[in-house]
Amino acid sequence: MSSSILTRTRAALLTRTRAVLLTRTRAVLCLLAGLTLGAPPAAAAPLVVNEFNAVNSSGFLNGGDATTDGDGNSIDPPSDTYFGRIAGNGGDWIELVVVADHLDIRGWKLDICEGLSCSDQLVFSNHAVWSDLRAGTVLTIAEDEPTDLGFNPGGGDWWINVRAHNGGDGTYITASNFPVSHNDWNVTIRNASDAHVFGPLGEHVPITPGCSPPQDDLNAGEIFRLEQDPHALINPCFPTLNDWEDGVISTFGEENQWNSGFSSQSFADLRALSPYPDRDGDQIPDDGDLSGISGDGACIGGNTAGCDDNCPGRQNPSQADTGGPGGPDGQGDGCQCGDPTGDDDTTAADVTEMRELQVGLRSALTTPERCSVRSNGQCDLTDLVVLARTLANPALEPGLARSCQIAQVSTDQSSFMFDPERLLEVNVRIDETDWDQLRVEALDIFAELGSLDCGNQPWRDLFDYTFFPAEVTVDGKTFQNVAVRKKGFVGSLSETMPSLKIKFDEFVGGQQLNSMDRLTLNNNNQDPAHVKQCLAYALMADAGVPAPRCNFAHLTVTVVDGMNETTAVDRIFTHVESITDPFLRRNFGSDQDQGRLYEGTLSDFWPGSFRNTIEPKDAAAAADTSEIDALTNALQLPGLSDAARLAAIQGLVDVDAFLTFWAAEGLAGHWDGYVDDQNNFWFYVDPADGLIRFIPWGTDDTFGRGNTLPGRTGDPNHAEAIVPRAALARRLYEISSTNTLYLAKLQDLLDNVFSEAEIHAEIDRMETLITPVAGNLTSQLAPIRTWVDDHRALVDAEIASPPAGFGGQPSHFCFFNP
Amino acid sequence: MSSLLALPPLRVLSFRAAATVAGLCVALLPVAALGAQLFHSPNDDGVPGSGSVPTGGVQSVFLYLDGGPSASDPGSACHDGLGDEICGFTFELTAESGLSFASFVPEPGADLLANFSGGSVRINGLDPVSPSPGPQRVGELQVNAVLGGEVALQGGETVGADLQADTLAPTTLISVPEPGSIAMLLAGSGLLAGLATRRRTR
Repeated sequence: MSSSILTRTRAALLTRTRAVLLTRTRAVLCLLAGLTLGAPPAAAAPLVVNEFNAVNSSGFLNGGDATTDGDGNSIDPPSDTYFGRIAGNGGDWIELVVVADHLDIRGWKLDICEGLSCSDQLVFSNHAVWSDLRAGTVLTIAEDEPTDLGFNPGGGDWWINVRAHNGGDGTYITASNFPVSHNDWNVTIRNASDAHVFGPLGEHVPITPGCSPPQDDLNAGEIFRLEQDPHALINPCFPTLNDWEDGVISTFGEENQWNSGFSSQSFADLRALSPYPDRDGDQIPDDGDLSGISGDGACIGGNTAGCDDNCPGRQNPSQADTGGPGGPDGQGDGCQCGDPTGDDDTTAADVTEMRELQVGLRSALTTPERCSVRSNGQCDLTDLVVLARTLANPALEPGLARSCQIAQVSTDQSSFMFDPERLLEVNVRIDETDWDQLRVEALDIFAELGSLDCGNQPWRDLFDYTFFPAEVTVDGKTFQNVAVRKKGFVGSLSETMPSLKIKFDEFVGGQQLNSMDRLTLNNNNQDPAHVKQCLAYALMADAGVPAPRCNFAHLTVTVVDGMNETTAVDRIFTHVESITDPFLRRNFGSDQDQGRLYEGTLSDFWPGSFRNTIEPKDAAAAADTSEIDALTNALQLPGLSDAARLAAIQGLVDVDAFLTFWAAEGLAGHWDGYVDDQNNFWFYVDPADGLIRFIPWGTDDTFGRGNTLPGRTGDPNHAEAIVPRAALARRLYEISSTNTLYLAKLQDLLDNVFSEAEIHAEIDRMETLITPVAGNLTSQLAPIRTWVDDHRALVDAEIASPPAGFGGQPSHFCFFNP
Repeated sequence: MSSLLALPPLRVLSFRAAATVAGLCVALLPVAALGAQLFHSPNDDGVPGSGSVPTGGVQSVFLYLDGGPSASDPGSACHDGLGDEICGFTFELTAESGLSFASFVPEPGADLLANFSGGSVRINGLDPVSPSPGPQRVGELQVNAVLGGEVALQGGETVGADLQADTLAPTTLISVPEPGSIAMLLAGSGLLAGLATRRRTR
């Protein structure tokens, strides 16, 4: 027995000594970590500290007593939204917010320090509750408040509270009291491997190079809180961006409030980061019941909250569900399976239509994408049998599929963003200082043209525009920390309404909007009618050219200066598809890293400055320019026979595709493109066959005037559509066989693609769409309509009597470095 | 859309070859191994016949479709049934070699949709709730039978009790043979029957 007691005493002493040593060691490590590392630079924080209570145990928010605060205010003195106005304001508590979805915090630690001394550590247990936390979850750790795991996001309860105190059993967190105070208190989050996650945050944390945490001087009547929406890049190193402040509005377990309650956080964006986000952007989450399965709790009966989008591939904010066999069935209108007639309901008429197709009484279904009832994408006799059976008796199994083909949302949701019928509503909310920098950024192009280095490198390298952080809202969906920069070169440059490149994932990794990581919004500076870019790209796409998709955006830019907000921009912009992976995948079936992508701006396949200004779009494209160099050589090499030159070109360029591109540029009047102006083009070295394929760009001065540049307008050879000025077009025009092919291609497109009636109808449609924002456009559109009417005769005449080709190679724009 | 549309056109066999092949198939293969069968029942009783009609005038082809004799458990047909019921079908017949179609009379009470012309008929049938096993009458196809004419099954599809699709392979459904060919067929059949009798006697 005594031996046993001795053993236990020794063990207890050892344990205590070990604990003290561990505590000291931890304190030293913490100190060292703080001194040597400080808070690391910006990295995605999956869990952030959102608020903590610094009110001392006998004090009240903003001092005073239970009825009157320290300022003598007895009418609604500050109180916590949960606790009310009580002594100690709920005791020691910390509030965290989960930023990353499906976060596992088992074994994670909170190092609790006073100054540089970290004497306490709370550890989350291995309990399953911590294994899969959803983004937007509020997690409070309180010494006095009972544990509450009644967590039900689907029902709107996103809050978990766990009690950490000496009397606990450690089920969820270390059974230990812990201090939270205004006495140099701070906290750091570490993961199960002791790797830094977040912090330190609080008072008197070390300032290190590159990290300047907030140093508010908390008093015994305050809380400390984040005064913005939590997100992945929240980092206490940058207090001016992240705005942790002391204050007296306390919100235990809820979104923070500040600015006398006029400002508050929103966790809505975080909570939209579910595995099935709102892919169609109609504000009804695909997995609205947060079950982890999209479509298992579809919205019915007009319900739109806490349920899954009943048509996740098509906007239907009302969640209307006209019916299925036997009535509404959770398949929203537009997504109704077994509805080949497309009337949003499943009836005998659908069976009849499918049968008529079976026996050849009709050649196609009205809405074939709604035919399949078995979620296999096919529509066949078995679907017909199942549909007929279900209609005969909806109670019989099997019924229709829960998710019809149209509801099978593909990975790429970008088509939704380029629906030509849509007018995107885009708001950029940006700090005034940033906006004033952004809008005036530009290369002094004339100084550059006159410099001795002009043409030695891609233009873009000379004036990479700066990304600025902004809050961007697209059709009601708001994104924080979006990167916004100016874009443009010469004609589109504007200091009052700059074209913008908006990148969702520049500052927040993985942030996307409907499969898109960026938006390109062009200001239509050269097109007061706004319609030219979309008209031109549509015409080119109809011709078979890999052209960007295009529609319109109503862009507003809200400039924020403290409490003041002004609208700096409010007009129609053209939303043009960026030349990135979705575009390349759609047109070439490959990603950028599989092929090589280049942009040409006052560039050509010609030695010297033309060649040098071709811009590789990534390091791989820069490292291997063999096709460009070979094509440049093949085009400029004197003395080659036509056959030999053509053979060399054909080994490098998809000539047939180029002839189409060339003819389409002429057909659209794209004088500022590659063929006429050696400008505004991209090309892709297609990994499928290693051949160069051209992509049009910068079509904002089409469908109208010809080349207006000095030395070009007066060019005796300048024509309506046939202007083979660029090196490749010039050579192919010289070669008899490709000359003939080109003229035939132009004639073919003129006869079969260029339809005045269709273009007029498209102009009318666009006018109807944008006039509510742009105002009356009749006079601006008139010359375009006239141009469309006149164009065919002029092109026909040119084909009948083609202009002569160009001799030599035009000088580059650089004054001293042609 | 339908696999029916993707079926290759029937390559019509000569009558002699077809008769010989048909005779051999009838003699050597058990019916149950053939899956769903579309056939002509000369006596309109669900029993397959010779596959020929006499020459001259309008002749009736009684069309039957048979998936087999087994019945599914009650309520399981057209869901996960294990029987031979046919829940739906589509097939196309064409008139070949001078033969033409005069009319098609669907089986009364059957849920059928037909697209009929003098040269072809495409028929869809549905029985998705309580189909019966065994031969099911589709209807009566009246043909203007000319010597050497044929009714070809261009192909088709059935959906069984387990909701699995099966194909109806292209074949010659009906022929209008020359008298000499009939004699040859009868002789061949007699020879086969004699051989079988002799083998059984031994």
